[in-house]
Amino acid sequence: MKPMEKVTLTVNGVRREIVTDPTRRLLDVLREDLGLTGPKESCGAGECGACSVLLDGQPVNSCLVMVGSVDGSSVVTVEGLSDEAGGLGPVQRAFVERGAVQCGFCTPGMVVTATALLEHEQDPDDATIKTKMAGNICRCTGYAKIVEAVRWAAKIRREEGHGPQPEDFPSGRADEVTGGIHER
Amino acid sequence: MTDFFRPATMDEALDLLSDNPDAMCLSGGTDLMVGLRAGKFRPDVIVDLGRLGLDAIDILADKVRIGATVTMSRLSGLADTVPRLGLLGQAAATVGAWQIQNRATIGGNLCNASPAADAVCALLALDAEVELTRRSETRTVALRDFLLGPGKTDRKPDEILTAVIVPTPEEDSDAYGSYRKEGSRNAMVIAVASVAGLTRISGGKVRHCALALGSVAPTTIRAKTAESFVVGKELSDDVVAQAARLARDDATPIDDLRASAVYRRDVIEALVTEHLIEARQARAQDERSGGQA
Repeated sequence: MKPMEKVTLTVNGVRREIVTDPTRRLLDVLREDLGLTGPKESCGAGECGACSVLLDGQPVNSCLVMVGSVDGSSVVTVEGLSDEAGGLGPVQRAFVERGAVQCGFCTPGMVVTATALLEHEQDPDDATIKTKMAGNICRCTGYAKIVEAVRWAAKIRREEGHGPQPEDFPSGRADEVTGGIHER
Repeated sequence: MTDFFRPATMDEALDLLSDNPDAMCLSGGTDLMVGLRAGKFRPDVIVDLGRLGLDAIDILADKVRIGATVTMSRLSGLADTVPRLGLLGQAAATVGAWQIQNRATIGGNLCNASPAADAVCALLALDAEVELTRRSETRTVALRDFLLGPGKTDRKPDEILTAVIVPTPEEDSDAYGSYRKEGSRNAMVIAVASVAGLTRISGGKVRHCALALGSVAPTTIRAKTAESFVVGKELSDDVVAQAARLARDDATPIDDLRASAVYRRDVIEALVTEHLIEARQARAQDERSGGQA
């Protein structure tokens, strides 16, 4: 039997054949070979979640995935979460609209995990959001807004693009739009 | 340069292992990738187990066979189907965060043999056996004999851990199981100390009691003195307190970065107390709702 020499992945819907050392990390292949810099490296040990991607629909730490071991799989990065027209997808929009972004380094991972959560549960409560997002660390300590953004995204998704109303957020500020971060 | 293989058959995988004595098996990779990067492991050959069909869960009459590459995410859902495995599900749900649980596997947790391994602690309380396969034979070993020390197991270099087998005897179907760990925060933490307990009470007395302790010895261990003390007794407050003190002495913890040995003993005493009191309460509730004991 011969050692593996190339890896086939479907990345953000596009099939890619990559000739590479299969013991490399999925994170490095995405960033260095495919130019997808949405997934970030921070801890490199599965603690922080900045490198989160969807692997066959499930969130994983791409820094802990040996790329050869996911040969044939489908990978979605934050770059693959935009809407059909190429604009921001509902979860991305919710993070912007709720001001859930400070330095932004954790945001791609947060958006990826939140997207996976909302695929599993249409209307998660705060406890579920906090449990499922526990592997995504924000060191700007913006968790309140992040949890709020996930609830907001759930609402946007449920209403399929019809934006949520101020009364859905009794704590207020539904009219406050952070704006300005619309370029990808 | 490490050669990477992803065999499609067990025979190919076993040949690779017997031809390359220092090869390493890759399952989910959540431990291996960290170790490789830190230079802790430098294998010439990596054999990925992902295509070998080791991801089945077979629920049989008196046991459950869990394939080595079953993930923690799948284990946490298993309790709904097999209530006796509830404590294993609870333990699996505390392994890292969601992203880790989607990759980390039961076989990896067993072979990595950390004294703090959550799922291993639960399996030890459940009297699990591991199944090891090599070219010429398949053998099963009791988990308590499989674990030899931190990172050390009875797995031979040419063997693949193919499954873990959990007995589910009929008489234990109403046993109370729980897994509790204490750490510096709630989410994704390595246990300072943990307790997996499985206790069956009937006719007012304890009929079976298994208490596995994590992070307080070179391997996860059973609190044998405490277990044999409670069997046959009624779980009065005094018996619970005495058992918890015995479990405290069954532990042989060390001082390290995460906690002092004394604190770890305190935690064991508290968690064993919690388990036994919950077992008593669960039994009382069963008797109220189900009529006869």
